Amino acid sequence: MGYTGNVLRIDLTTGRARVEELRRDWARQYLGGKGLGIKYLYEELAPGTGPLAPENKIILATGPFTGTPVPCSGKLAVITRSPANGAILDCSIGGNMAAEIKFAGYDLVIIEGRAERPVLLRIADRQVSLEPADDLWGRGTHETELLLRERLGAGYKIMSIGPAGENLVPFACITSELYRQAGRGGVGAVWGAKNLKALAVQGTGSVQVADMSGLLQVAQQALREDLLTDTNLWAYTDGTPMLVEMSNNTGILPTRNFQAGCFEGFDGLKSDTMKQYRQGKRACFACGLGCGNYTVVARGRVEGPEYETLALAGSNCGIASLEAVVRFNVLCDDLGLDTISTGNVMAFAMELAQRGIKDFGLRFGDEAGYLDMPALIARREGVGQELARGVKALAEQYGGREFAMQVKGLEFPGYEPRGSWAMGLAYATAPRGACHMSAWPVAEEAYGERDPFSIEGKARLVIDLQHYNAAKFSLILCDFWALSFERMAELLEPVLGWKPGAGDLEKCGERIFNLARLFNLREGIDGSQDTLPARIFKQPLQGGATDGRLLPEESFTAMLSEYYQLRGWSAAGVPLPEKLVELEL
Amino acid sequence: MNKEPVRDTGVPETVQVELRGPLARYAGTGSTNGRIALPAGKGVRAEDILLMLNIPPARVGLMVANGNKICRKDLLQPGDVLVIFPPVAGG
Repeated sequence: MGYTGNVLRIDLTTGRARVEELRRDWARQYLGGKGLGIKYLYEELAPGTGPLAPENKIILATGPFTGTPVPCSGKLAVITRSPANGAILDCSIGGNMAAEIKFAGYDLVIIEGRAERPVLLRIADRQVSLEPADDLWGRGTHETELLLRERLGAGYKIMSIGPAGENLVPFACITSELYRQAGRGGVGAVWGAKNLKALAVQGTGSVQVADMSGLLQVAQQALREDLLTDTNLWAYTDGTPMLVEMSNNTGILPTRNFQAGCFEGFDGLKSDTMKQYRQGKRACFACGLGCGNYTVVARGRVEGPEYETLALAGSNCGIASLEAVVRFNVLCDDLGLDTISTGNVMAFAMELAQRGIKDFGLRFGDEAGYLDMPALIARREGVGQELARGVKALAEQYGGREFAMQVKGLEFPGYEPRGSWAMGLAYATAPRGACHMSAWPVAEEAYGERDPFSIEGKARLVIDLQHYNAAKFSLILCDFWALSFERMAELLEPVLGWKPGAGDLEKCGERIFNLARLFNLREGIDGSQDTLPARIFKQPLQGGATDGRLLPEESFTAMLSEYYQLRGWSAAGVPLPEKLVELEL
Repeated sequence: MNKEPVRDTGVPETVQVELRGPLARYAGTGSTNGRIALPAGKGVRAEDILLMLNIPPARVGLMVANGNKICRKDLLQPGDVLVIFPPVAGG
């Protein structure tokens, strides 16, 4: 119960599709979503498979809560090997696609091979077809989706890539339902390499649970007691833009390529400003919160901008105009670019110019150049050919490695580690590179009561959060619901027909995190890459609450060493045999 | 905080409180956007302001006075601006 028991596998090379039985033993150990997707990829992908090779796989994974009334269970996990860095990559995307896949009768959809020509993969319950998509190739995601809605009817949920994915930009994303993205690590480029332009799914089935009446009771109780409370409702009243003011006040708002932690123009980007342009709220399937801000500014329509976009494409580029950020956001969504990495690339290029190292025509605060660049990057035209390679590759060619804000080739999210030291450890150790979804200790440190400039207890904090998020994103539940392992177990009981212990769920999280580590080690991504750019260790921040602050390298090293030890990993960051036995790996 | 108190009118000396997100409702029906002025006397602790507004401590996250992060025990002076955020998850 809770699972359909079916995995749909599609080979784009041969055009064949088949339904396989779900490995229920794996589902029990890895839950679903992120964890189950990583398990399948680890078992099926031959070591050394190129991320853009036909043999790489795209796994779309639902979880046991998908399609049920469990609140905040609308997300879909997308798992593949990342073209940004060769690491394991899992993204999640909101909206309704996950439920639609489950209603079509599948827990997982595994896409492999490469189509000869651009294709649309169409799934209508048990009917699976590959249809020509030559006419869609080159079009933006908005136009693609609107054309497909017209062609197929409104009953389909659609995901598609834009020109960035088609042109294999290593930070290309996937868009669904016009405004939602699986953003990070270049998952859109894997679609492009497979000539997969779009996916359309229609499901008319249902999801079976062990005890529907019990589930409704527990779900309502959870809604009342710990979802629709002041602790979570900020996601509805404001959503992530509220973090702009919080980050600016605590000195962790990335500004001008992480040269400062506060921005003199933050007023233009904060939540109160956003609310002036907000037209309504949007929610994912089964969501009780509705964090999406449908915003219209100067004819630009977007569900957002989210904090990450406001930070990386706003303050980090020296842009104080909400209108400019919205236009940038709309462009990136339509072209299929991740706003976090794109914002970082722009900011890095701006600093190269500031320091006289290389001039790509971009300057901090210059809106015109900033708004011209996404199209050039996505289409790999002009200087866009260079910028489309990402921050790490640019630094290797032109210099500026010390201020190339990336880990393992993935650009930084919007939280300054010099003002939140555990966040630095989280960036350094996250499997996919600099990532805020693996652990988010900012809430306890910069925004909370823990000393953000101390290493005490931080290794344990990051480990606990990494396990928590790994379990939560495998069930799959939304990041914005701060629920306990006990509540997760209570919700699982009427779904599965048996109740896992809260400790068992935490252990699942640890197992999933360690398996991701094993995947990376197998691909040669080892402990030597668990580090941060030199800027974080050596260059003090300027201004605000974090003026003069560093994360000293010796403090970081001590934190990392404690982290490895607590994890049961060697000094080189390799899980020890006894840990693998303990986790049944 | 060390800011000079406001003394130039007959209006009671106050701390300006701004409540963010869902906390705005604790400012009462008379306020707009969660903004409210509270009497500060010769100084008032942040935790006393939470008590005056009946905000449960568990509902409070970051507190910022005049742009600086503060603790619940910190003393506020008339004329200070206190911004109170709820706890947050995710990012």
